[in-house]
Amino acid sequence: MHPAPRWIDVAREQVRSVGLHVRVLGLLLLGSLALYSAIAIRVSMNQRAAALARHAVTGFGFTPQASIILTYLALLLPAMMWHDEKPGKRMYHLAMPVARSTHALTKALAGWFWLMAGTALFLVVVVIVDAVTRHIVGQSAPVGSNLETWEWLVPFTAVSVAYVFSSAAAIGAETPAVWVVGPPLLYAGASLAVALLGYSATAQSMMKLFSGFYGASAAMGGTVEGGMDAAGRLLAPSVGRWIGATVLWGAAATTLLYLVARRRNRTT
Amino acid sequence: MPGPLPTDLSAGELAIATHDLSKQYKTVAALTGLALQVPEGAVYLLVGPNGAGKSTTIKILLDLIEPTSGTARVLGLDPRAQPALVRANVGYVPEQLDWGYAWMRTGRLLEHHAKYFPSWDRDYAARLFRTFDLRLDQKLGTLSKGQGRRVHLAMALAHRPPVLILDEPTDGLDPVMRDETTGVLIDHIADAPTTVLLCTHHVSEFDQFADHIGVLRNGELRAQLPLLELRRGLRRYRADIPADWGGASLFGAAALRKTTTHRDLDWTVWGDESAITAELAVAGAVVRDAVPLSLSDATLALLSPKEVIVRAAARTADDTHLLHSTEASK
Amino acid sequence: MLIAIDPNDSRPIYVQIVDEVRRALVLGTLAVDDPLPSVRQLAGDLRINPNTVSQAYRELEREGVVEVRRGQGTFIVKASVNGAQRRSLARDVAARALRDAHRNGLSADDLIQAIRSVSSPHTK
Repeated sequence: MHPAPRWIDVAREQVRSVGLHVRVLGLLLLGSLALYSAIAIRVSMNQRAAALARHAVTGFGFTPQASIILTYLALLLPAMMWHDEKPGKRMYHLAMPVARSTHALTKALAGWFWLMAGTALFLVVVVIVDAVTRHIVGQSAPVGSNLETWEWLVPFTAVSVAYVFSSAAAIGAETPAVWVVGPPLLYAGASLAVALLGYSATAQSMMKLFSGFYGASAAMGGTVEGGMDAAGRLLAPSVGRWIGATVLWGAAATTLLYLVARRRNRTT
Repeated sequence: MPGPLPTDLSAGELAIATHDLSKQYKTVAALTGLALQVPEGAVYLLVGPNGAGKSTTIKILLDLIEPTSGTARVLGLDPRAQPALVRANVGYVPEQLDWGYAWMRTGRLLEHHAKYFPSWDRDYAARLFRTFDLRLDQKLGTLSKGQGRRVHLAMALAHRPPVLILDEPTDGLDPVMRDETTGVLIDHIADAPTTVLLCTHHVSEFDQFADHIGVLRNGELRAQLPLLELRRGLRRYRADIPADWGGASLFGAAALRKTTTHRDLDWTVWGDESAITAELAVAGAVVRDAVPLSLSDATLALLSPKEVIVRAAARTADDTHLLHSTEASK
Repeated sequence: MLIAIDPNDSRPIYVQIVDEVRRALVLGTLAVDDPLPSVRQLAGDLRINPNTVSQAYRELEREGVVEVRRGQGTFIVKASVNGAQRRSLARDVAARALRDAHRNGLSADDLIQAIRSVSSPHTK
């Protein structure tokens, strides 16, 4: 009797397979980064003269909030990966020698690997562009000097949490877009309705799910400031906020993904 | 309702066995108490009309759908408990091809499969592709029906599984490729003992290759037996009968097809040839002929028993015949 | 050596193969130490299940007509076709002819008479 394949072999193969499948997105990312670099350098060269005359213009630096750009990528990637494997489709490779739930999780993991690679590439390019543009305009402040070490990890976690949610939608639903856009919209709509009905305090509490200290925005949008001071200015980024939001939303997303993958084992 | 033919193959090792397997959809009973028994090393032809339950049975064996009740075993394994291990030991060609990866090229698909099946034989896969006239650089989404089926066949065979489950393996193939497929399958099982479960409408194409048969109708087996036994036990009897012959209801359900005129009979009957000939003789019939049936004719007789009685009134001078024919399905 | 199989014959295929081998021995087309085609080869040529060929070869081995030599194949070991085998061959042919006669409404006597008349003025 032949054995079933080893998980590690299957996982490696999925990384190759998914990489090939979504290489278009990869190329898009590369293209956007190249464009960004070109524009940044061009603009900073134009500003050089101005910068020498007045005080320094800020370079094209990086803040955790910038990860919001990558979050869009995290939402798109699962849709592309799973678009041929909708739950209702009868597919030959349902007959592959792996449990269907394992397959779903392994493939999702393979996609996450590429997503992290893309995020790392993004950050590397941003740092380099920042250094180059600062050099062009004659600024001496070192790259990312105002950032704590942990802040560099924010894009990775933000993107990951968004990706896990989006994967759950792509694996579990026939039209994943509905499930990615729908629940936030419905929730926002409900809060609005509550506010219009006069319960503005309740509505504000409800919106804390998005914008609160441990809200969705902190977990997936990179808004990890410690809050606002009396004058309405943003406080320094808070590692507690980042960890708390990530763990909370990360656990919820992972649980959802696991359940949705398990559901694939069920047959009619 | 059981037919007159045997359905029990349980003596000996079974590569595939179902016990009281039933599948009920909302209004349709796809399978009712099926006892499929495929002996180890057999080439088992599963025949039956569309909707008989062939594809349903196969999908249950591979844990693609779940039964309503009953059990199934493949190589002793329960597909619901160990689906990955079962599928690692089965080469499956589905009836309806549905590529999950339309963008993937055939060569890449082979590599993909090689990682999923540790027993994959790369050289054999390449040889099969050559035999089936397939290229390695074609996108799956652009394959024709026939090409797709050949790709599936190559993939099912390349990891040399102990069990092959082929659902209409030659559907959509031209006569040349059909012949190649038969040759490939013959060579394949000559190289290593393999159990083959083959679903097809093209019975005559596989009647030299198969050695067992299961006839499925309305979710249950009308017959399940070795082909040698079927060939030995089913005969088409042609006999002359006297006028006012009283043996019209002889043999009951064992007479699958009966055409009776007032002078002779043409009956397809299951049973021992000498006993049947003797019984007919005792009833006054003179047996001229007892011919074995081709597999397609035998299958047809099992799937659609028929009785035709042709009566002719005495000829009058101006030659008017009154012919009544009644057709009643049993 | 040509082996011909008739799917419409009432004899099982493996029996036909055995009979064909015996026929070849009678005719002298096969001699002692001649190899039979491999199971794979014959199955492919005849387009039949290899197990059927194996069954025929096993039957021949059982009768002592062939022997299987490991790694080499199946070889004829007894070419002498004694009287008993000739008689059994003749009986098989006669049985087939008789069935054919019956189908055409002829009796055994009719057939015997016809054989005699056909076989006597044979030198032409």
